[in-house]
Amino acid sequence: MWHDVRLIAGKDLRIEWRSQVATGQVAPFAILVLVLFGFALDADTVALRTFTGGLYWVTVLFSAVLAIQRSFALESADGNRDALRLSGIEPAAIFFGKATALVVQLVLLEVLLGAGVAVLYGPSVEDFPLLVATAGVATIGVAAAGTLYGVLAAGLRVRETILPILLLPVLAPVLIGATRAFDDALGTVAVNGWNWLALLGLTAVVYVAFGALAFGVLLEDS
Amino acid sequence: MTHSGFIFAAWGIVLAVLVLYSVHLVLRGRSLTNAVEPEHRRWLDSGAETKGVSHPPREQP
Amino acid sequence: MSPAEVTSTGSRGTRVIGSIVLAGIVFHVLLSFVWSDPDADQGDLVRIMYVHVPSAWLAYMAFTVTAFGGVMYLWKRSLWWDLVAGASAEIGVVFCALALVTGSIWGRPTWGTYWEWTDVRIVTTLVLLLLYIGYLAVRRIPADPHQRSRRAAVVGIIAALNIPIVRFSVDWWADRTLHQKATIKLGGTELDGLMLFALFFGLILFTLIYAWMMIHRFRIAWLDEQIDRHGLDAAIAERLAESTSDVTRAVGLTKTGADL
Repeated sequence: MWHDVRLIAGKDLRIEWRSQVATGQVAPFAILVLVLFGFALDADTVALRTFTGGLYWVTVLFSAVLAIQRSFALESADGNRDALRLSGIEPAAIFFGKATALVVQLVLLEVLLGAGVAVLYGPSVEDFPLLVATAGVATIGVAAAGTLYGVLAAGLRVRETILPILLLPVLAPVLIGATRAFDDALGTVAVNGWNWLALLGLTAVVYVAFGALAFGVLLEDS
Repeated sequence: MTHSGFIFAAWGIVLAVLVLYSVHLVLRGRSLTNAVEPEHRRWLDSGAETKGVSHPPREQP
Repeated sequence: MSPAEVTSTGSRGTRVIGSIVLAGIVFHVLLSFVWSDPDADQGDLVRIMYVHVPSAWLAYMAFTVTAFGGVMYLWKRSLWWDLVAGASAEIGVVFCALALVTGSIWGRPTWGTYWEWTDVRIVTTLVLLLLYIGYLAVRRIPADPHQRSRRAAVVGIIAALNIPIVRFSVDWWADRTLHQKATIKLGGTELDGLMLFALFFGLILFTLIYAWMMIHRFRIAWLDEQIDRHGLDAAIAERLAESTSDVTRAVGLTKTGADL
């Protein structure tokens, strides 16, 4: 099973590496959103610094939607999906493989965004381990929910519009939790970020467990 | 009664929406019933609470 | 009644429920506006609660039925359960929207704003509404019935799994302002007997309304299914009959041509 997971994840990452869509389009889009927030908040440094956590995670979610769409656009071309089903690989392994590839891409994106935020908004980091742990756990939640809804939307004529309306409300708790934890780590709001991290962990466990179970049901069709 | 505007607005909206939705359901039900061949409406017949049957037996018209 | 006479999705059952509901609405209005007194804290605004709380309650119940229908569908693979889930979700969205609107109207004189971000219930309910609008959108995507049912079941179950998570996270998130707990006291000793009764009567009445709507909505979904399944067959049969006659005519023509 773990061999298959590595196989699927490796395939996705190799395709991404060669096609350069993630680096050439998704990453610049994410930076663009950061700049747009700067304009929208009238370059108010205090506001930008106060809301860094929230703006960061909103940007991550929007970019994640693009990355997820991309991840499943790969499968709908050339009847790849049927090939996946014919390969005899367990649906759960496909789920973990695709989610892993997404996690890797999102983590790279978050590092880049983190650098962008550090330069553009200038927050101060007070609790670096909390920051890293939050990013890691939240990313797993986003990738798990995204993989499940990604396969659902893949191949539909309305995939571009159905994915965000399904995914973003489900990720609302992740946005709340990750933002609060970041607020603590960046010292902007006095909350206990580690509690929020625990909530994020619970969310990630639920999404990963249900995703692994339900992925096969969704892969059956279309 | 204080705040009567708010109270009547809330009640009015609830009743209006429930009535409109119910009317919509009934009208839609009527038009669909007429659009379906009688032999496929069989679950609607007398004592019609036969919803528990996922594939009702075929009835000869 | 024989099937041929059926002209609507109504039946004896729905007519009985419908009559009870109509009488119940009259009773509920009297109970809420005439017989019960204003609340000591909220004054007359408590009268909004008699429709607001039942709406919210029914929304949660309807969404629970949707999730249950989804689980049952995945287990039994019976379209019946899927149609129940879909019917319940649509009605749930109606009640959910009503709960939001009435809550917001209640909030204006109470908090001074239509929207209070620190109130957990109203924020959670909005997220719920959006989740189930997504669910209904998935159901509307044209697809083979079982394909649609599988997708809908998964989305419906995730949405229900999300209810406690959303609720909990919003609760925690809003907790930094401490005034919110004091805004509403319902249940327990704060309401006198008749007010409590009005609230419970509202719950029963709205549950009956839900039942009436469910029966109609389910039958509509069933009929839609029949049209999808048999309507196409009928159209194809009709078209085939046409083209067969075309072919016969064409063959006839060729024959005539050959004869020449």
